[in-house]
Amino acid sequence: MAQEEVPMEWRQKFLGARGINMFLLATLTDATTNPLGPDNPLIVGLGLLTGLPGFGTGRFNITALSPATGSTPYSGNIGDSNVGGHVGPELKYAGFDHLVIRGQSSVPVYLVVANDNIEIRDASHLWGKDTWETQQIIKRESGDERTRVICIGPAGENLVRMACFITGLKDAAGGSGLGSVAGAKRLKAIAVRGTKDVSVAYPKELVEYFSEQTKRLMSQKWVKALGYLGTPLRMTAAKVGGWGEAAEFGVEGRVEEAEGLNAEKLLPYSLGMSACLGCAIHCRHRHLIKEGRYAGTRGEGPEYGALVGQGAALRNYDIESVTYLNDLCNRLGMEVNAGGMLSFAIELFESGLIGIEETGRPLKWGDRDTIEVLTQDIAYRRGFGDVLAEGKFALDRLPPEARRYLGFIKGAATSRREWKTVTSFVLSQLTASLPAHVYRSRPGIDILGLPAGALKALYGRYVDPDIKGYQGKAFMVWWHELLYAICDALGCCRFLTVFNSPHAPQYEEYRELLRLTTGWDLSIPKLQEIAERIYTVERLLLGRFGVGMRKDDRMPEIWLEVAGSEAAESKAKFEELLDEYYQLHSWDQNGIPTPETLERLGIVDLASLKGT
Amino acid sequence: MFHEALKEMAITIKVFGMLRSILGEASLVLDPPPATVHQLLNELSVRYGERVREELLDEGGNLDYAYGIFVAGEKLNNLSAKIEDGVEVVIASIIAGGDHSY
Repeated sequence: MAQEEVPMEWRQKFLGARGINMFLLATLTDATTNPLGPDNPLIVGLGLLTGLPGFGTGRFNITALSPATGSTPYSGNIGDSNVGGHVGPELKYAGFDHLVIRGQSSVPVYLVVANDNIEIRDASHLWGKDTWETQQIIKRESGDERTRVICIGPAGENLVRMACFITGLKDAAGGSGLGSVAGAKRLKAIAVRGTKDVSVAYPKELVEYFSEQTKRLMSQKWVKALGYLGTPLRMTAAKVGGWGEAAEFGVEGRVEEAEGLNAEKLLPYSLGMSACLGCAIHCRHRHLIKEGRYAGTRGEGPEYGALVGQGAALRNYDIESVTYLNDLCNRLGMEVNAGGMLSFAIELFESGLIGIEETGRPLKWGDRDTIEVLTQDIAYRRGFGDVLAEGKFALDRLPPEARRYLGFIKGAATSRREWKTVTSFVLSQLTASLPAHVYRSRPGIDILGLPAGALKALYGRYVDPDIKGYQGKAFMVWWHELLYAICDALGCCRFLTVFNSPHAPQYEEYRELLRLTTGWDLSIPKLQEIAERIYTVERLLLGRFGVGMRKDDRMPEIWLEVAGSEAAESKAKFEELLDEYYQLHSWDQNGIPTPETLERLGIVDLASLKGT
Repeated sequence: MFHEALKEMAITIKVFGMLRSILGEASLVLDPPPATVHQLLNELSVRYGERVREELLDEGGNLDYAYGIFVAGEKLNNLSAKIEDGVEVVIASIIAGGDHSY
């Protein structure tokens, strides 16, 4: 075990969290690294401001090669997850900014990090426990209720490719199957307690600035709305505004039932709202179901993603069942809807491609009992669950026609097939440096209906106010990519930047926070250059895995099939958007960073890494 | 006959998000119907108090971005936008996040 200072050069080039994590991932792996092997580094990285007064600064990143999106079960792809809660800040107070975990233990272990010290402990007694029990046991053993824990559940232990980390009741580091990377290392948990001071450049001014900004934020309507109903708010607006998923609307004949998943339906179960450390928004419900079949269900959420994933996408419109399944996934340490595999499996069954002989039981839309059993079967790799636990690699064990039920973007499977109506959202998903990810660069404010003047004031150029328009949308995606890269590298939350509101903090506020915290006075172009560097390193990593070119920024064939006659025109328009997008990045017309760009960003060395 | 025709002119307002907690109602019928968003806000403010206008408008007196006022899937972005008779109007808080990736 070695400890070293984070070199100042890395700070200057990448700030922290996702930035430094990606640099480490690029330098510590190559194209042959097995994501479930000992050489895949599990990298925990705090933002430069994580744990300090700021804008949702409970956030940090966990990064490794993903076992879910590679070209084979043994090859990797870029994997990254941004997570909140309290464990990141606690790591800062323990004196660490990054952890790089390599190798593989022969027995289950967990890390105990406390004030400049790291210890490896036996976790045999924790193996098999769910994420909530694991955290409770570790806290009890530590004798300190303020010990913070991030851990995997049975899904991670069993190398389920949709496994995530959980900290607290529901904060998840998901989306890249990183729970199974920890499972392969037999790393059950990281427990953290820190009581060290953190030095900042201008402490008094920082606290004043934080108080003033927090007050300003908490007076804004979008913050109040999120603090009242949380992300489930999106259910209604997405439906009536037409930018949601088709599944949300409820399938034919069940539209009224789907209303049962609206945000307001959660209020009878809400005990109040909770937040990550120091956040002005309290965006998640603490829930308790007091009566009926699910009586005694306590937890956090469900978020919009779970209402759709465990609810509408499975035609399960029972909000109590969805809430229970949300908690079940969190306890198992697995993404809701097993990352889309549940709806995929039911669709295959209903279409007759697979039958009881494969699945062992009928799989039906809206059958909450089957959904519950199948969720557990996947996490424990029982029966047909073992097939689905392989994520997209389940296709190797399914009829060839099953492939038509998934779309692929840069190796990531997506069960979405509907034609999306928000141009900028589609472009951001297609070009995202984390394959198919919806938040890497989503220009969330595009759906607010801002007039052209307000958009020009924000972006400094014309952007079509129509969500279906094309002009300026490539710029919008590029602009948000850069902003979010800085947001992540600082450890701030994207919900507290220009995502839900044009009035949220962005570069000017980040500059001031950085100055008060570190004494650095970085210009906005300098911050954007750092963001460009981070995004370009990620593009190089995608290239290493064969998915970093123009061909990889296009819509899945199945989307185009569904689009029918509209496809040709849209396809051509998206090609034009890609031209503009690559120019903004100073990449070539094939979407590959040019030597000049690498030189300008000071990352020429990374381009020559093996496999790049 | 005349009465039935009038009834068809009424508009239904469905309310979601923060505004529902202010109005204390999930839906209401306005008859006679307002012809514009401006008139709609006036009518709601008369019935439920000035807080409605404060909630739906920003400091500059324009529609606040935190809300969407929709008719048949179309978002009405300014106070002078027309509202046809007999339609259903949805007023909802807007956020962009909470999505899943698969």
